[in-house]
Amino acid sequence: MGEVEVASEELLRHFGPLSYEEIGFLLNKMAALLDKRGMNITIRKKVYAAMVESLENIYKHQDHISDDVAYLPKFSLLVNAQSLSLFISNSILNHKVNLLKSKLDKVNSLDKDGLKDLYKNTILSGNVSPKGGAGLGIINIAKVSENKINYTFTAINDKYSYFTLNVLISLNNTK
Amino acid sequence: MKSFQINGTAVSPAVDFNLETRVLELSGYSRPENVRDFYFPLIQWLDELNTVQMKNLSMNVSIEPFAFKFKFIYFNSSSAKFIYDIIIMLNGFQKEGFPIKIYWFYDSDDDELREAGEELSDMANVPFFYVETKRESSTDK
Repeated sequence: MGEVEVASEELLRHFGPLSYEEIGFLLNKMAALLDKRGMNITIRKKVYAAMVESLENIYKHQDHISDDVAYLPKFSLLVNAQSLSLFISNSILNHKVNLLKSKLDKVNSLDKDGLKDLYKNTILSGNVSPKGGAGLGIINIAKVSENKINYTFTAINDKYSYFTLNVLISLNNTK
Repeated sequence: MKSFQINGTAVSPAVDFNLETRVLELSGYSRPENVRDFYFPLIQWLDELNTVQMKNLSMNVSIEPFAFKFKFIYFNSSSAKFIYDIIIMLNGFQKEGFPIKIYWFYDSDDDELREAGEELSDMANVPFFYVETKRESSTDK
Protein backbone atom coordinates (compact mmCIF):
# COMPACT_ATOMS: atom_id res chain seq x y z
CA MET A 1 0.00 0.00 0.00
CA GLY A 2 1.41 3.38 -0.98
CA GLU A 3 2.00 6.16 1.52
CA VAL A 4 -0.37 9.06 1.32
CA GLU A 5 1.38 12.41 1.18
CA VAL A 6 0.36 14.40 4.26
CA ALA A 7 0.76 18.14 4.58
CA SER A 8 3.17 19.09 7.32
CA GLU A 9 3.23 22.19 9.43
CA GLU A 10 6.51 23.73 10.51
CA LEU A 11 6.57 24.26 14.27
CA LEU A 12 10.08 25.46 14.82
CA ARG A 13 13.06 26.51 12.75
CA HIS A 14 16.58 27.75 13.22
CA PHE A 15 19.06 28.89 10.63
CA GLY A 16 22.59 30.04 11.31
CA PRO A 17 25.43 29.35 13.72
CA LEU A 18 24.30 27.43 16.76
CA SER A 19 25.35 28.41 20.28
CA TYR A 20 24.92 26.25 23.37
CA GLU A 21 22.34 28.75 24.71
CA GLU A 22 20.42 28.57 21.45
CA ILE A 23 20.02 24.81 21.90
CA GLY A 24 18.40 25.40 25.31
CA PHE A 25 16.16 28.04 23.81
CA LEU A 26 15.02 25.70 21.02
CA LEU A 27 14.39 22.87 23.51
CA ASN A 28 12.23 25.10 25.71
CA LYS A 29 10.29 26.34 22.74
CA MET A 30 9.73 22.80 21.48
CA ALA A 31 8.50 21.62 24.90
CA ALA A 32 6.05 24.52 25.15
CA LEU A 33 4.77 24.04 21.58
CA LEU A 34 4.21 20.30 21.94
CA ASP A 35 2.64 20.74 25.37
CA LYS A 36 0.23 23.28 23.91
CA ARG A 37 -0.77 20.73 21.29
CA GLY A 38 -1.47 18.21 24.01
CA MET A 39 1.34 15.87 23.03
CA ASN A 40 2.22 13.47 25.80
CA ILE A 41 5.37 13.33 27.85
CA THR A 42 6.71 10.28 25.98
CA ILE A 43 6.62 12.10 22.64
CA ARG A 44 8.09 15.25 24.15
CA LYS A 45 10.94 13.31 25.72
CA LYS A 46 11.68 11.56 22.44
CA VAL A 47 11.83 14.86 20.57
CA TYR A 48 13.88 16.35 23.40
CA ALA A 49 16.44 13.54 23.20
CA ALA A 50 16.63 13.60 19.38
CA MET A 51 17.08 17.39 19.43
CA VAL A 52 19.77 17.35 22.12
CA GLU A 53 21.84 14.69 20.37
CA SER A 54 21.52 16.18 16.89
CA LEU A 55 21.92 19.84 17.85
CA GLU A 56 24.81 19.16 20.23
CA ASN A 57 26.39 17.21 17.43
CA ILE A 58 26.26 20.31 15.25
CA TYR A 59 27.50 22.48 18.12
CA LYS A 60 30.46 20.22 18.87
CA HIS A 61 31.46 18.82 15.51
CA GLN A 62 30.38 21.25 12.82
CA ASP A 63 32.98 22.10 10.19
CA HIS A 64 32.51 25.75 9.35
CA ILE A 65 32.52 27.12 5.88
CA SER A 66 33.31 30.74 6.39
CA ASP A 67 32.26 32.24 3.10
CA ASP A 68 28.98 30.63 2.21
CA VAL A 69 25.87 31.42 4.23
CA ALA A 70 23.72 28.94 2.33
CA TYR A 71 25.38 26.08 4.18
CA LEU A 72 25.07 27.28 7.73
CA PRO A 73 23.46 24.94 10.27
CA LYS A 74 19.74 24.51 9.85
CA PHE A 75 17.11 22.93 12.06
CA SER A 76 13.39 22.49 11.62
CA LEU A 77 10.65 20.58 13.39
CA LEU A 78 7.57 19.64 11.39
CA VAL A 79 4.37 17.93 12.39
CA ASN A 80 1.60 16.15 10.54
CA ALA A 81 -1.15 13.80 11.62
CA GLN A 82 1.20 10.83 11.75
CA SER A 83 4.54 12.02 12.95
CA LEU A 84 6.94 14.67 14.07
CA SER A 85 9.84 15.16 11.74
CA LEU A 86 13.16 16.79 12.55
CA PHE A 87 15.51 18.06 9.86
CA ILE A 88 19.01 18.91 10.97
CA SER A 89 21.66 20.13 8.52
CA ASN A 90 25.25 21.19 8.76
CA SER A 91 28.35 21.32 6.63
CA ILE A 92 30.91 18.56 7.03
CA LEU A 93 34.38 17.92 5.67
CA ASN A 94 34.23 15.43 2.80
CA HIS A 95 36.78 13.13 4.36
CA LYS A 96 34.43 12.55 7.33
CA VAL A 97 31.46 11.58 5.16
CA ASN A 98 32.20 7.89 4.72
CA LEU A 99 32.67 7.21 8.42
CA LEU A 100 29.46 9.03 9.34
CA LYS A 101 27.58 7.30 6.55
CA SER A 102 28.75 3.89 7.74
CA LYS A 103 27.62 4.68 11.31
CA LEU A 104 24.19 5.73 10.04
CA ASP A 105 23.86 2.66 7.84
CA LYS A 106 24.88 0.48 10.76
CA VAL A 107 22.18 1.85 13.10
CA ASN A 108 19.61 1.66 10.29
CA SER A 109 20.38 -2.03 9.84
CA LEU A 110 19.60 -2.85 13.47
CA ASP A 111 16.37 -3.56 15.35
CA LYS A 112 15.68 -2.42 18.91
CA ASP A 113 17.74 -5.16 20.55
CA GLY A 114 20.55 -4.66 18.06
CA LEU A 115 20.65 -0.96 18.91
CA LYS A 116 20.77 -1.76 22.63
CA ASP A 117 23.72 -4.07 22.08
CA LEU A 118 25.54 -1.53 19.92
CA TYR A 119 24.95 1.15 22.58
CA LYS A 120 26.34 -1.10 25.30
CA ASN A 121 29.31 -2.21 23.26
CA THR A 122 30.13 1.37 22.30
CA ILE A 123 30.26 2.46 25.95
CA LEU A 124 32.11 -0.69 27.03
CA SER A 125 34.69 -0.27 24.28
CA GLY A 126 35.85 2.91 26.00
CA ASN A 127 36.12 4.71 22.69
CA VAL A 128 33.75 7.44 23.73
CA SER A 129 35.41 10.84 23.78
CA PRO A 130 34.25 13.57 26.18
CA LYS A 131 32.49 15.13 23.20
CA GLY A 132 30.44 11.99 22.82
CA GLY A 133 31.81 10.69 19.60
CA ALA A 134 31.91 7.08 18.50
CA GLY A 135 28.35 7.45 17.25
CA LEU A 136 26.68 7.15 20.67
CA GLY A 137 24.47 10.14 19.81
CA ILE A 138 23.33 8.56 16.55
CA ILE A 139 22.51 5.31 18.34
CA ASN A 140 20.48 7.29 20.87
CA ILE A 141 18.60 9.07 18.10
CA ALA A 142 17.77 5.75 16.44
CA LYS A 143 16.63 4.29 19.79
CA VAL A 144 14.19 7.12 20.55
CA SER A 145 12.97 7.50 16.97
CA GLU A 146 12.12 3.82 16.42
CA ASN A 147 12.21 4.61 12.70
CA LYS A 148 15.01 4.42 10.18
CA ILE A 149 17.09 7.61 10.05
CA ASN A 150 16.98 9.32 6.67
CA TYR A 151 20.01 11.30 5.59
CA THR A 152 21.58 13.00 2.60
CA PHE A 153 25.05 14.30 1.83
CA THR A 154 25.14 16.97 -0.87
CA ALA A 155 28.57 17.89 -2.22
CA ILE A 156 29.27 21.61 -1.87
CA ASN A 157 32.80 21.60 -3.28
CA ASP A 158 35.86 19.36 -3.17
CA LYS A 159 36.31 20.01 0.52
CA TYR A 160 32.83 20.13 2.02
CA SER A 161 29.44 18.49 1.85
CA TYR A 162 26.12 19.53 3.36
CA PHE A 163 24.74 16.84 5.64
CA THR A 164 21.02 16.59 6.39
CA LEU A 165 19.60 14.24 8.96
CA ASN A 166 15.87 13.52 9.07
CA VAL A 167 14.49 11.91 12.21
CA LEU A 168 10.89 10.71 12.34
CA ILE A 169 8.98 10.21 15.56
CA SER A 170 5.66 8.47 15.05
CA LEU A 171 2.71 9.92 16.93
CA ASN A 172 0.61 6.80 17.11
CA ASN A 173 2.18 4.26 19.12
CA THR A 174 5.32 2.60 19.35
CA LYS A 175 6.30 -0.05 16.98
CA MET B 1 36.03 15.59 54.31
CA LYS B 2 32.86 17.59 53.70
CA SER B 3 29.52 16.94 52.04
CA PHE B 4 29.33 18.13 48.45
CA GLN B 5 26.46 20.01 46.86
CA ILE B 6 25.86 21.63 43.48
CA ASN B 7 22.56 23.23 42.50
CA GLY B 8 20.86 21.74 39.47
CA THR B 9 20.25 23.71 36.27
CA ALA B 10 18.39 23.06 33.01
CA VAL B 11 21.55 21.39 31.69
CA SER B 12 23.30 19.89 34.70
CA PRO B 13 22.05 17.70 37.53
CA ALA B 14 21.75 18.69 41.16
CA VAL B 15 24.44 17.00 43.23
CA ASP B 16 23.76 16.21 46.86
CA PHE B 17 26.48 14.04 48.37
CA ASN B 18 25.55 14.11 52.04
CA LEU B 19 27.91 12.56 54.57
CA GLU B 20 25.45 12.93 57.46
CA THR B 21 22.57 11.09 55.86
CA ARG B 22 24.96 8.87 53.86
CA VAL B 23 22.84 9.49 50.78
CA LEU B 24 24.59 10.47 47.55
CA GLU B 25 22.19 11.83 44.98
CA LEU B 26 22.26 13.04 41.38
CA SER B 27 19.02 14.45 40.03
CA GLY B 28 17.55 16.28 37.07
CA TYR B 29 18.92 16.96 33.60
CA SER B 30 22.40 16.05 32.44
CA ARG B 31 23.67 17.60 29.23
CA PRO B 32 26.37 19.96 30.52
CA GLU B 33 28.34 21.88 27.93
CA ASN B 34 31.57 20.32 29.16
CA VAL B 35 30.64 16.96 30.58
CA ARG B 36 34.17 16.15 31.79
CA ASP B 37 34.46 19.40 33.75
CA PHE B 38 31.15 18.66 35.41
CA TYR B 39 31.69 15.01 36.35
CA PHE B 40 35.40 15.02 37.19
CA PRO B 41 35.02 16.73 40.62
CA LEU B 42 32.25 14.26 41.50
CA ILE B 43 34.46 11.32 40.66
CA GLN B 44 37.31 12.84 42.69
CA TRP B 45 35.01 13.35 45.70
CA LEU B 46 33.78 9.76 45.52
CA ASP B 47 37.34 8.53 45.32
CA GLU B 48 38.22 10.52 48.44
CA LEU B 49 35.18 9.09 50.24
CA ASN B 50 36.33 5.58 49.44
CA THR B 51 39.84 6.35 50.69
CA VAL B 52 38.40 7.53 54.03
CA GLN B 53 36.21 4.45 54.29
CA MET B 54 39.09 2.11 53.49
CA LYS B 55 41.18 3.80 56.16
CA ASN B 56 38.38 3.26 58.68
CA LEU B 57 38.08 -0.34 57.62
CA SER B 58 41.79 -0.94 58.04
CA MET B 59 41.58 0.46 61.57
CA ASN B 60 38.65 -1.84 62.33
CA VAL B 61 36.26 1.10 62.59
CA SER B 62 32.86 -0.11 61.41
CA ILE B 63 31.64 1.68 58.32
CA GLU B 64 28.01 2.52 57.71
CA PRO B 65 26.41 1.70 54.38
CA PHE B 66 25.70 4.46 51.86
CA ALA B 67 22.98 4.83 49.23
CA PHE B 68 23.61 6.27 45.78
CA LYS B 69 20.42 7.59 44.19
CA PHE B 70 20.23 8.36 40.50
CA LYS B 71 17.17 10.54 39.94
CA PHE B 72 17.68 11.64 36.36
CA ILE B 73 14.95 13.12 34.19
CA TYR B 74 17.21 13.05 31.16
CA PHE B 75 20.87 12.45 30.39
CA ASN B 76 22.55 12.76 27.01
CA SER B 77 24.94 10.31 25.41
CA SER B 78 28.05 12.25 26.51
CA SER B 79 26.88 12.01 30.12
CA ALA B 80 26.13 8.28 29.79
CA LYS B 81 29.83 7.40 29.70
CA PHE B 82 30.52 9.29 32.94
CA ILE B 83 27.46 7.85 34.67
CA TYR B 84 28.72 4.41 33.66
CA ASP B 85 32.17 5.27 35.08
CA ILE B 86 30.58 6.27 38.41
CA ILE B 87 28.65 3.00 38.55
CA ILE B 88 31.81 1.01 37.87
CA MET B 89 33.53 2.99 40.60
CA LEU B 90 30.74 2.28 43.12
CA ASN B 91 30.94 -1.40 42.27
CA GLY B 92 34.67 -1.29 42.95
CA PHE B 93 33.97 0.27 46.37
CA GLN B 94 31.55 -2.53 47.23
CA LYS B 95 34.13 -5.13 46.31
CA GLU B 96 36.68 -3.46 48.58
CA GLY B 97 34.24 -3.66 51.50
CA PHE B 98 32.49 -0.27 51.39
CA PRO B 99 28.77 -1.13 51.26
CA ILE B 100 26.87 1.12 48.87
CA LYS B 101 23.52 0.41 47.28
CA ILE B 102 22.50 1.91 43.95
CA TYR B 103 18.94 3.17 43.50
CA TRP B 104 17.62 4.12 40.06
CA PHE B 105 14.56 6.39 40.13
CA TYR B 106 12.33 6.73 37.10
CA ASP B 107 8.95 8.20 36.36
CA SER B 108 6.10 5.71 35.91
CA ASP B 109 5.53 7.23 32.43
CA ASP B 110 9.12 6.84 31.43
CA ASP B 111 9.90 3.27 30.41
CA GLU B 112 12.95 4.44 28.48
CA LEU B 113 14.58 5.85 31.59
CA ARG B 114 13.98 2.58 33.45
CA GLU B 115 15.47 0.72 30.47
CA ALA B 116 18.48 3.05 30.49
CA GLY B 117 19.02 2.04 34.13
CA GLU B 118 18.68 -1.64 33.30
CA GLU B 119 21.22 -1.28 30.51
CA LEU B 120 23.74 0.44 32.79
CA SER B 121 23.18 -2.15 35.52
CA ASP B 122 23.66 -4.91 33.00
CA MET B 123 26.76 -3.35 31.44
CA ALA B 124 28.44 -2.74 34.78
CA ASN B 125 27.20 -6.05 36.18
CA VAL B 126 25.90 -4.32 39.32
CA PRO B 127 22.37 -4.80 40.69
CA PHE B 128 20.21 -1.65 40.97
CA PHE B 129 17.17 -1.11 43.14
CA TYR B 130 14.47 0.50 41.01
CA VAL B 131 12.15 3.13 42.39
CA GLU B 132 9.10 4.15 40.39
CA THR B 133 7.89 7.69 40.99
CA LYS B 134 4.82 9.59 39.91
CA ARG B 135 5.29 12.85 38.04
CA GLU B 136 4.07 15.82 40.05
CA SER B 137 3.42 18.17 37.15
CA SER B 138 2.54 17.80 33.48
CA THR B 139 4.71 20.74 32.58
CA ASP B 140 7.97 18.87 33.06
CA LYS B 141 10.05 18.73 29.93
